[in-house]
Amino acid sequence: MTDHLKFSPDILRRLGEELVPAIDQGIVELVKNAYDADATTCEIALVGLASGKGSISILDNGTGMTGKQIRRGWLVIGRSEKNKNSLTPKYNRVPVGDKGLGRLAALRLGDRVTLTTRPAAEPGKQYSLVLDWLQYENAELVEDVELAIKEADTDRPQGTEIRIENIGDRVSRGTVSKLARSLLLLSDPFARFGEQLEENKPKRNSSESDSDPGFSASLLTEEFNDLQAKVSQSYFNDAEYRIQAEVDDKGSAVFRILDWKGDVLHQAPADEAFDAPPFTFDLWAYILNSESFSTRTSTVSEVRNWLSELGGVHVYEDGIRVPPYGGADNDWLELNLRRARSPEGRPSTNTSVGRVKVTNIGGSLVQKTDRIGYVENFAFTELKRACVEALNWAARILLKERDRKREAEKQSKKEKAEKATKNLERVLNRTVKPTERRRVDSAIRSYVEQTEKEADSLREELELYRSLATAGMTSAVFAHEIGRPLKLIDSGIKGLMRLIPAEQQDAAGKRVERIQTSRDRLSSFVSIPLRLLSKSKRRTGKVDINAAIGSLVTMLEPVSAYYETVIEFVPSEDGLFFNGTEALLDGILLNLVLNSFNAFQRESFEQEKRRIKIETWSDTTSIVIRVEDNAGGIDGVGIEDIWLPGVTTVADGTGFGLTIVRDSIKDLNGTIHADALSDFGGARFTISLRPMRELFAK
Amino acid sequence: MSEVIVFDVAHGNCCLIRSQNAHAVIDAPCKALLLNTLEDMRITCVDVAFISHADKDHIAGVIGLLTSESIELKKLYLNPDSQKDTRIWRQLRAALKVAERQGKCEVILSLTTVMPGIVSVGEVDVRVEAPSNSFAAGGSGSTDERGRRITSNSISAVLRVTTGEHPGLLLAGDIDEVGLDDALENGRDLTARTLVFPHHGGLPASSDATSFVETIMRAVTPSLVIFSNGRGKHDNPRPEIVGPVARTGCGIACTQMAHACNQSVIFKREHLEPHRAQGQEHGASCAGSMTIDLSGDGRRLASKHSAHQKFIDDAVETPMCRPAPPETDGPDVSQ
Amino acid sequence: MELAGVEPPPSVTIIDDDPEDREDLMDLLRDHGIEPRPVNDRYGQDIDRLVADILAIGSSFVICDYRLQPKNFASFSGSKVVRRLGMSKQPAMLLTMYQSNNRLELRQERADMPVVVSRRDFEVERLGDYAEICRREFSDNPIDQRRPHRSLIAIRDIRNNHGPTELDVVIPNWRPDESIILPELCLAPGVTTGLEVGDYLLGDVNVGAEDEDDLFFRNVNEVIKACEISDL
Repeated sequence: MTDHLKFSPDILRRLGEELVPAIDQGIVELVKNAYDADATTCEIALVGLASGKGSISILDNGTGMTGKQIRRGWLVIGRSEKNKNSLTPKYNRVPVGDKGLGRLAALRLGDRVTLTTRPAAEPGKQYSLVLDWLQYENAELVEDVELAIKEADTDRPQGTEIRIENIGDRVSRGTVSKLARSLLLLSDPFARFGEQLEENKPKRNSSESDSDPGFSASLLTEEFNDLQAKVSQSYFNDAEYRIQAEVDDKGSAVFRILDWKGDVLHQAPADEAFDAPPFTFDLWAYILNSESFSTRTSTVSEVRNWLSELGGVHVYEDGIRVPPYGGADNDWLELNLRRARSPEGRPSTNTSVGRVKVTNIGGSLVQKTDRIGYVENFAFTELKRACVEALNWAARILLKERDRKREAEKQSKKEKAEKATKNLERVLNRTVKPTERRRVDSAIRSYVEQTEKEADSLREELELYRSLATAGMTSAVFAHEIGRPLKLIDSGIKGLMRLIPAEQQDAAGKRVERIQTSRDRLSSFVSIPLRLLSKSKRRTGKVDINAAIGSLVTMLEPVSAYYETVIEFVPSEDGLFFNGTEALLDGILLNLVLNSFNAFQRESFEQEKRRIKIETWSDTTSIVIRVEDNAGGIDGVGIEDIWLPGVTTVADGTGFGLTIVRDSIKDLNGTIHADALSDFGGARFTISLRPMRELFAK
Repeated sequence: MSEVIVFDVAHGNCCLIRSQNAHAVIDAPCKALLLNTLEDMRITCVDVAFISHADKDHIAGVIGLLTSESIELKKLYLNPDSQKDTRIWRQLRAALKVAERQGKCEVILSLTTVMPGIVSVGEVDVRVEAPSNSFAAGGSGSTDERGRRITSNSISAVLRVTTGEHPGLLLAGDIDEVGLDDALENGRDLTARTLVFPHHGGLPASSDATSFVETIMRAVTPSLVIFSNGRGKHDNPRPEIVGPVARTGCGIACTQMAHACNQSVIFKREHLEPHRAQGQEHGASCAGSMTIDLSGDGRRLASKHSAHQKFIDDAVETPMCRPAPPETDGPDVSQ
Repeated sequence: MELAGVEPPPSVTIIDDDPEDREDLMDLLRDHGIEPRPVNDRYGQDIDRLVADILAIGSSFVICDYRLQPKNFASFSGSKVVRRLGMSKQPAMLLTMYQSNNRLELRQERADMPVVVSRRDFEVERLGDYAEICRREFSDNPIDQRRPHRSLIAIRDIRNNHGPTELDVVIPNWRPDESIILPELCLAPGVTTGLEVGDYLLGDVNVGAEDEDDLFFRNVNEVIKACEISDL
């Protein structure tokens, strides 16, 4: 007698539920199976959810299954995709479904599953099968439960229906709307809008197969209709411009910027090849202000709503969406971060919608087991890199464009102003009595002066920003140069000491020590701008908050010692991470700490033991960083005014420190709260940041 | 006892006339030298001041005099200059407003050969030798009979300062060849024992330096020429001017030491008069401030003059005021 | 100058919160045969005690660092100390940072501080002069550079975008082509209202000053409106 490895029914639950935690994705997997069965429609009905005994049915018009296919295919759980190259027989589709665990998770949603299928291969025949999960609960081994495939005659057309019953309260409203979104986006909605990219369609030997009429899945609920109405509206024509990257099967890429009509405005081949499967990346970017919409039929708010539904950059593998890319809160190309770093010529996820259309016949892209996203292998990284390069290229072009436009505007404004002055002069001459003219002139002059004053103050602010930027860059440049003189001081001291006779070495030693201390202080002061501007600090990625703050505090040690100030750092017990740049975090903390140093030195404020405390922790939704001192708190300026540019209580201060802090935190999607006086004895700043999403926390 | 002090005020001009408790000031550049000197001399009242022309190195100090609370200025003569709607001119008007509030200064907007023609300061007569009324009326910006441009320097007032029959001092302001020709054509008497050379010894605007020097030296016939110059500023006096002056054989005294005379500054004060000199603290003074005796021969005190000459001989390396030694025909090869 | 060659004082009291700087200055003085007398204590807000301590030490000259706060020596500036010492006719000088950046802060107090020198320009050899400058001032006979004269102050610009109002002014009798910043705090309280660009102020200014940082302003209490000025 031969033995078999046998499975306990527990394995079914664990495989299904633990590997695919998202219910909606489980259902989508069933819908994908319909697509693979060459169906053109698939309807999902949710019945009686509120009753606590609800059911889900998935009905398609695909090719169905014969009894043999059920036995050899449908009932085999966990068979992985062997060959992406075997296309579906009728429409030559690249199979997208998962025959394995995702399906199991969906099927296990309820107590009981009924499969009814009418194969195209055997017209007039219907097969049905019931899976009663309660039986499995009671059985010892999976194999112990016997299944019967029933055969019957039918006059109904081909197709498959899966009915999952008694799903209880496992499907919430939130799940339903997520499901609706997933279904809508499943088959490329962009494709429906007749865009001009069809020549880029992957080449297939489609001679003997029918042309694919397309596939649509719909959810029979109210929500779905609303959503569909929103999504099916097309606002692609309202885009300000479209960025495109096209990568061919040899990996060479072309970047383009197109206008709303699809006409190419700029085009350039990429400098290097990308080792990614052939794909096209399109990003429609919008300028959401009333000015740019004044000549259009749609309104800003319509487009804004539509964009918020459609989301970011979606990935369609052979016509079917790969979640979570482009889903809510998924900014896999880091559009928002790039924009935060240099806003000009950079769309954000709120102002753009995009799509990557990839042909994965070679199978170099591998979806994760849980069907949420690709494994971040080389092919995927290259695909991402190509998209990013395209964005960077476009930003450069747009920036140049904008600069040119600005220059032209300046010129035309000047001309217009001159013309307007002449015009005014003419009108005044005609309409104002010479006796009144003096008064009118002086009124106009004072009006003009006022306007100019306002413009002046803005210009001044800008100039201050510019000079601060220049000061920063300059100090970094010279900081690099400081090494040489420091070295010279070291060797100079040693040389001098050798020249000093032994009996005077003691007296000289003291002075030399002072030079050494000053040299060390100089070097630590100088390292600050260097650290802030070092390239690695400005690279976006996962930032270990505690490590970053820790090293900042260490770097500041000579400075804080100089100011007789103790900086305590109390890091959280668990690691805290956010997605961004270390430089941004450094900038925030440095500004706050420098403010504290200044506060300690206020005229007629006394603090025997100067302390600054930095604490980090995480609560349920966010990372919290708190900086407080015992320098007596904020006075002389309203707490709500401290963020304004130019507001300062320090003579010769720029008043930009806290403005920069506020703006940096905004860039990180965080918030900051200031207390004028805390129990600690001074100002307290509490920063909340959004933690890094699991997906990116590799 | 009547005298004129020609102050070392660096680049600019400033003179103080003292005679029988009467005091007059002719021009003053910025800074406190004149005010501090007047205060230390316990002069609380300046009877009259003259502004030769509308340049700031002649006006700025008069502005200080007008606003001073410790010193009263009774009368101010100047020519309005239509070409010069400069800031310094507006500032002068503001200072006049201050003086007017304090009720202390009469302003006469004419400084020509006709009006006032001659002004007495104690025993001293201050004669206006230029510009003529008609020349001043044309004003700067117009052209003279020969079609030459009249600038503010052209209408600079030239004042001859004398006591009785004694030879005196000629203060030439910044006058150029155009203004000088006007004075000479009108037959003005410019002779004086000491000449404060026009324009700090700078080059005349358009004419040849040598002929300009010849014209003015022939007209004035001085035995001492003073350059009121600032070390480093504008490089005055110019060798093209000093050379021809020196060749006439008359004495030369510069308030400050030009770079061309000595590359580095010299901190010596034994030869300087006790009056303030702007260059003294920085080692820039050559003759420094100089007193001209109007009751005597219209020159510096002999002892002061010789002390200055000795200083030049001892300390100054390449003085422009010393005529170049006769050139030799190359090295002696007889050996 | 009228001061050249005044003998340095035999002992000098030093107030400097930074021990390194203090030791350095003390060595420098010792090298020139001058006895340094440091003040080592913490004074918080108690300027009276510091002034009393300094006077008790009885040196003929005092050198006081401008910034006393960084190392928590005191919570007031050295300028306050120098001014207080001046009231007691104790000759004292203020030593500012190596490259001074407190020009505007000091401008308001400069009138009451006869000697302010940056660390870069400080020369031990001139200590005698520094002391003499103070003594001359205490006996109402200030040196030329410190003598105030009623002067015209032309307003070129008025700025108050952020923080305290600042004027750009020209003092024709000092340097007719150079504009400097005058904090509104240097003006008498009454005159600031309705001030416009083009107006003139009248105040006591030491127009003999060589350097912008040595200028001081007292009794800036008269205005000449632009419209009052008549044509010539």
